[in-house]
Formats: sequence, structure tokens, C-alpha cells
Amino acid sequence: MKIKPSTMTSRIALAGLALAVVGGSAAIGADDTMPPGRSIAYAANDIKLSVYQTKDAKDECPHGVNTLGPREQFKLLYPQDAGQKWKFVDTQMGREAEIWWPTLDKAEEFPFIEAEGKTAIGLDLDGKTKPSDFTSPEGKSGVDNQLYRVVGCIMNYRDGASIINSERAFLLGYHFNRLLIELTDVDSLVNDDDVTITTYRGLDALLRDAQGDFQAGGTERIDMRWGGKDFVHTGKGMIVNGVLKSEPMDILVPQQVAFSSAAASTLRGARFDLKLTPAKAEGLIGGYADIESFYRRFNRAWGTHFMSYGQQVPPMVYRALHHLADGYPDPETGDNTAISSSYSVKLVQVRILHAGKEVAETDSQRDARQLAESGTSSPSDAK
Amino acid sequence: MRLVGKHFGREGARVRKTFVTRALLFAAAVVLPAGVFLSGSSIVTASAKDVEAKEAGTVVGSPRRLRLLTTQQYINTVQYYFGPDIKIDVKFAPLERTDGLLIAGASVAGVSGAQIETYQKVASIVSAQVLSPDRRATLLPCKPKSDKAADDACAEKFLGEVSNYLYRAPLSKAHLAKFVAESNKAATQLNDFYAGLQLALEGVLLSPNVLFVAEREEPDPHHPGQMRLDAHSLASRLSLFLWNAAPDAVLRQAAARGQLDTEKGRAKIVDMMLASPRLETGVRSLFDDMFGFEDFVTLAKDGVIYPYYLGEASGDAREQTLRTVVDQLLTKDRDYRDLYTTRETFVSPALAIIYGVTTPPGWHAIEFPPEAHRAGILTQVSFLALHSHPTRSSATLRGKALRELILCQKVPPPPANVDFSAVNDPKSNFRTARDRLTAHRANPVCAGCHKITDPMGLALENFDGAGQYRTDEKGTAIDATGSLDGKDFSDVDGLSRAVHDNPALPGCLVRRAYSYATGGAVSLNAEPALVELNKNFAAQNYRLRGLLKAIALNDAFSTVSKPVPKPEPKKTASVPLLQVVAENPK
Repeated sequence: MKIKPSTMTSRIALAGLALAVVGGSAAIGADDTMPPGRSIAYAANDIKLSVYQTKDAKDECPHGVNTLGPREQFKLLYPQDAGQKWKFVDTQMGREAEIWWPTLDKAEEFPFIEAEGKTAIGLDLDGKTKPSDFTSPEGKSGVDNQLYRVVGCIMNYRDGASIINSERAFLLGYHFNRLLIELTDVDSLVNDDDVTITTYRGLDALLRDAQGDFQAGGTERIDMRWGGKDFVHTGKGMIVNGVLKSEPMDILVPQQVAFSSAAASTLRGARFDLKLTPAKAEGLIGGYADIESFYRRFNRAWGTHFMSYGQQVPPMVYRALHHLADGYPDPETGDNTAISSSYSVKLVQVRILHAGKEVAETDSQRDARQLAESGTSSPSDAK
Repeated sequence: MRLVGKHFGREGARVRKTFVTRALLFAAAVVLPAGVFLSGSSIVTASAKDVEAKEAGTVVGSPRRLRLLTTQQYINTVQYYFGPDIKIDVKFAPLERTDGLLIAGASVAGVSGAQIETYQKVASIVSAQVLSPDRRATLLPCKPKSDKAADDACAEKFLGEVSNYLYRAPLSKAHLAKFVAESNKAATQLNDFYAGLQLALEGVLLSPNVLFVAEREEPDPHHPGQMRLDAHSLASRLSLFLWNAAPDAVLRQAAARGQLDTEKGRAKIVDMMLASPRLETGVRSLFDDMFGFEDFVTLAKDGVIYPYYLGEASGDAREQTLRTVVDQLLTKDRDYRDLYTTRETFVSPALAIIYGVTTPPGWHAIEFPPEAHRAGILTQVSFLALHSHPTRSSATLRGKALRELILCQKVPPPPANVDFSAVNDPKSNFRTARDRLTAHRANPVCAGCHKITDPMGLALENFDGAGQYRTDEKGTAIDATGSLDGKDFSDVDGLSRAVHDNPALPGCLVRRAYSYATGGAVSLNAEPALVELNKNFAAQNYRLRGLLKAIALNDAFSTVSKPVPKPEPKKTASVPLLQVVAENPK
């Protein structure tokens, strides 16, 4: 809160709400920076791994990008014109089994190219500047994004590639992948030193206008089906000059792609760095990707042929993830279980309809209802 | 047409062509005199007898009509009988809005060859669906002795029942025999009973007796010397008025038994019709027509200026207002005037982003709080967006619509040489609509009309061209003060109250409902009936059901009189543009 809430300030805020404009989909309250109901929510309409890219990948992939994907490797390993007869169990089935049960001690049969260079997109997750850290394109040092080294030279994660474009498309077509972020206790969308952040999985389609752009003001119900509570996480943050910066919090990132394949991966110690406006938010979500859930998320969601389009060989990725992991060491083995990472995200403002409140209401009606339900006389008391 | 051709093959197409050609010729033969009749009816002058009758206080009724079924009446009629799963994706030729209603235009409509082709295509599609293998067992009242041969009895049973319904009157035995003969002939040639029946049904659907509502008259025993609609014509008029569809079996039987000829019997039937779920269909149709909602079909909004006006918004806006009408006037039986002040309505997700509300998928009831300034249907997206330009709001269009659609007043059209530069220049220095219109009114040629429309239209300037609330235009605070017929107000809430209290408001609904009920423009000699209905409406605290019942039971509804045309306006050198021509000032 800009000013720590007292009953008096809350009443002033409530009075402002009563006078607030109801019509605008992205209406701001009486002081022009406080959102109606001291809360605002956003739904992700674009989310992708942050991959810094230069022209022709010369800086980050000086040795070129990975060109030997699952199909190319299969062809080299099991040539069909050599007169040798191959067994299904040794070839195709064997390769598929390796995707699901990868090993760390296997010597690579083909080279795996990691991203190099000093620049990467991401956040400083540990407050330190280490030799392995990057500098952001804007010049900020200490950027933690080792996942970028893993995926930076895999075509699937570069602009124009198969998986990135497909994930965006499925983000529009499916609902199970809707990441919602709700900010509450917001006294100002410009500067507020104490806001509460809650993530959910959303249920409803996003609205798009005639230009194809996402339209602010749509309603999103919270999806509590099928483990929906696992997507509910709460943390604290502040808004500085219109940018939300959060304290670390574990979150679960939903995913749903081809053929409705649903998955999720854990982002530990996640931090939000989002430029906020009443209509949208854009920026980064950094954190340590839990390797096992991150790896299985992609295997569950994408088939080998999708991996093949972008020359992504899952077992090699798995080994690289472990090789470059830099966070959350296993207390017993000491091995890191998570890897620093960053998502570049775009979000559009939505109105969250909380479970059990399947009614249409204006912001002021919502505030009045919430106050009545809490049995208190002001929003701050209701918290 | 494709369905039939594909199903019957080349021989079927030949048989069908012969039969349908005969039906078309029949239709054309009837249509031609219909046009003559209609033209004549619109120019006939009041006879001395009519005038004397009016002066003597005897019943002056409404003209006997010959009118086309509207698209929705046709669809409702077919689907009420054969089921809602019969798909009819058609729009018949548009009607000309006459005396404030599209449906009144159906009584002055002609039929072109292209329209007959459309009717034929729809008839073909409907009959193919009705006689399709998966529907036969349900929709046919009998089973033929053989699927591959003609069956006189079964064909006669099916065609008799269907024709009686679609003709809205009993079919003569000779007429039915012709249809049965054609059905049998085609069935024999095609070795398919159902194919023969399908062709016969197509012919029935194409009959002018189906497509046109031709009212018949008979001497009125209760008013010697006067004529009234015969029972089946009265049943059709009642059904099209209250249900927007052909009369069902109960209503036709009541007509056949003479129940509609007695005051008590007619009241019982009208009460039954008012209690039917089909009343909602009729009421929706009345208000959809009265509010000019057919313009939603061509409504366009600039996606850059109004990105929140999504593709679904137009359809949802129309539906929102109709739901509000049904909820307020039928479900809750509220005062009609409250429709212009109520904050109760319904929202959909597409409208929710315009209104700034949270709502689950689907339609949900909401009552806007007072500070939302959404009181009455004038503040709904349907009115605000429909009467705006694609890129900006329009106080003038909104004021004109309020005058013409809601208060039944006429605003003179702009002169041909009007200078719109002050309002159309996007680079002008005028920051608000009030500024632009003030400049526009500096031209005395323009001032007259704009004084009629703008004072109340400007009160709606807190809503942009898509209907979203705003407090400023280009950074300048909006001044929403205005006046309506001598009542001043400071904002849109004041406008809503002024409309609610305007004496022309209920009278306009009475006039439109009466015109809608009698199927044509209101004649001058309808004034006594309108006066009576207005008094009745007020006495019933402006309840819609009461008004509909009063109209349906009014002698003018069933008594036939020749219309009295409106006098031609006197041509003078200069027309006083300030004049608002109130059609029904009472």
C-alpha cells in the first residue's frame, strides 16, 4: 500500500469507488491510479521462454544452431539402405523410451550446441553477479537464465519456429493454459510498496477485437477443476513507476497444446517484472524451472514430430538441463534440481469471477458484496 | 432445390419441374391481382358512409389486408408445426418501413419473379427436411401401404392436415384433391411415396394462400350494415399479432366453432394466447420492429476507435434489449414507461466489456447501480450504438430516433444542400459534439431540425458511439444537460425520467401495437379506437398484456372499414422546420 491502510484511508478509497466510473472496461478509480476495488487482474495471452536472438544467431550460436533433431539422428543411427534389419524395440521404441526415461550418464552420440555470449533476457534471481550470469540487452548485470543456454540454439525456441508459434496459437484456442495474475490491495497502479499477487488457472476464452488484438475487460472464471487449486499461489510485491516487482514465490505454469494435451511445470522462486497499465501488462516472469516438471511438461504436451520440426532431442535437453542447473540443490545429493529461466509474457486485463460468484456485477457491486460477505465495514478490515 | 434434385434424380427433376411450374403460374396469377388490390387499398378515400359512421359513433374498424408473411412469420409457422430442428436459413426480400413499422410494409409489398424463386427454394428445402427418412415417422400421421407407390389415403391425411394449418383456413375438398393427385402422380412416376408427398408439400408451401395473408370479410350481425373479418381471418390476425405465426389447431378450431364470434369466446381465446409461451415471440417481434432493430444487420463500428465493440456485440445488444422488454413487461408485468428508467437488464460477455462489468459466460441478470447511469433502454448499447456513426456518437441520430421510434413523432429530413462540414471535419477545433452542433446550428437552415433532436441527444453524449460510458471527449468534460418537450435535465438520468413522463410515450406504443396488430399503417379513421385504447392503457397502469388484450378485443380490430388516407401536405414556399409533426399527440 502506498499508505498503510487505516480505516480512514479505506473509507476514503471506498468513497472514491462509489464515485468511480463504471463504464470503462479498464476503469481507474477516483484518484486515477487506484483500480476499482483496489484490485486488477490479467490473463496471459502470450508466454514464451525468453530467448535473446541476434541476426543469423551469430552472437549466441557462433557454431550454428542444432541441426540434428530426432529424425536426422534416427536416420544416421539406423540407416535403412545399409542392408541391415533393425528391430522395432531397438530403434523407434528404444528412442521413445529414452525420451521418457532419460539417463544422465549416457555419452552423447551427437554434439549438442548450447547458447553462448554475454547477453540474455531475464532477471537477477539471486542478487549476485556470477561468472555464468548474463547481462540483459538493456545493460543490467547479474541476469540468471541458464535455461537460455539449453534452448537458445534449438530452432524450436527461436522466432518463427514450430513450438513457439504453436504454443501461442494454442494459448488462444484452449482454456486449460490460461495463467491469471490477480493483484489485490492496490492503492495505486503506479506506485505502491505493498501489493498481494495471486496466480490462478483461468477457465474462459479471451476476447479478441476486429483487429485480432486481445480486448481488455473480459471475464475469467477460476478453473478449480482437475487440480486447479495447485495453480493458486500467493505472494507479495510492489509497484514502482508502473512496474510490478515481486518477491520470490513458487508458481505452477499451466500449458495446453496440440490435441488438448495438458501439462504444467513448476517455477520456483518466481519473480514478476511486469509493466502495468489498466488494459494490459507485459514483461518477464523469472524463476527457477523445476527440471523434472519442466522436462515432462514438454514431453507430455508435444509429440516427437513436433520436437523434430525444431531439431529438439529431448534426452539431450534433459542432460543439458541437469548440466546447467543452478538452483535448489537436492538436500541429499547436493545436485541442483532447478535451472534459472525467464518467460517473456504479455497479458491482458480481465475481471476475475471467483468461485461461487456466478453473477453479473459492476465493480462497485462487487465491492459492496465483498464487504457484506466479510462482515466488516471497510476493504482493509476485510482482508 | 439441390436437395430435391439430388434425391430424385433426373426423372424426379422433370416431374418436379412440371409440378412446380404449375404452382408458380398459380402463384403469379394470384399475386398480380394482389398488387392491384394493395395499390387500390392505399389510395382509396373515405367514403361518405365511413365519415358519417364515425360521426355517428358507430364502430370504425381497420382495413381488410392482403399482406405478405414476413420471414420470421414464415419460419415460426413452419417450425411450430414441423419442429424447431427444421433449418430455414433465409431472408425474404426486405420490407419497406411504413408508418414506423416494417410489418406495416408487408401490406404494401409486391412480389417479383426473383422473390418467387426464393420462396420456391425455401419450400423445396423445408419439404425435403420434413419428408427426410429420419423425420417421416414422427411428422407423418400415417404410414403408406408401400413406400414405393402412391397411397391416396395417407397422402390425403397428411396434406389435408398440413394444408389446413399452412392456409390458416380449411382447404376445400377440390383443392385438396388436386394436391393429392399431384402427390400420387409424382409418387407413381418416381416409384416413391415420400418423393411424391415431398413435391406436393413444396407446392403447398409455395401457394399464395400460404405466402399471403388474404383477409376475408363477412356481414357483422352485431353491427348491421357493417362488415367484419370472417372467423379464420380474425384467427390469423390474432395469431400473427400475438404469436407472430399462423394460428394453431386450437385457434383454428375455435374459429370453426364460432367461438371468436362472441365477446366471451373471443376473450377466452385471447386469454389463452396471452398465457402461451408463444406470446414472448410475438412481443419480441413487435418491439424488434418498433425499435428498428433490423438495422443491426448492417451496423458497422470502426475497430480501431471502438476495439471493445466485438463481433458479437450487435447481436447481443439487440438480444439484451429484447430480453429486457420481455422481462419487464411480461415476466414482471411492469409499467411500460419503466422500460425507460429501469436499471434491471441482462448482460453477455461481449456486452460486459462495454458496460464494465464482470459476468460468467451466457446471459445473466444485472441491476446497474445508480452511479452507472444506465437507466432505461435508451442507455443500452442497442440504442446508443445503433444510432451513432461508425466512428463517433451522434446526438442528432439519437435524438431523431427518440422522437421517431419511441415517441412516434416525425423529424423533417435535412435539406439537400445542408453543409455538414462543421460536424464531419475530424480536424476541426471543436472538441465535443456539443461544440460541433452549436456551430452547425449557426446555419439557420440546419437549426430548425437540430433544435428538435439535439437537446435530448446531447444528454446521451456520456456514451460513445459504441455505447461505452465516458466523462470527456478529447479531454474536455462532457456537458450532458438537455431538455425534452419543456423538461430540462442535467444528465442522462434526467433524460430517462423525462422520457418516462412524456405523455407521447405510451401513446406511441399504443399506435405502433395497433398498427402491428392490424397489419398496416394506421388510418385516420382509427383515431377513435386509439383514443379508447390509450385511455384503457392508462387505466391499466400501462401494462403491456392489458394493452395487447384490449387491442385484440377491440371492435376496431375485427371490424372492417376502408382506410382514410392522410391528407396531402399543403405545398408552401417554406416549410417550418421547427415543427414536430406529432402523429399521435394524445
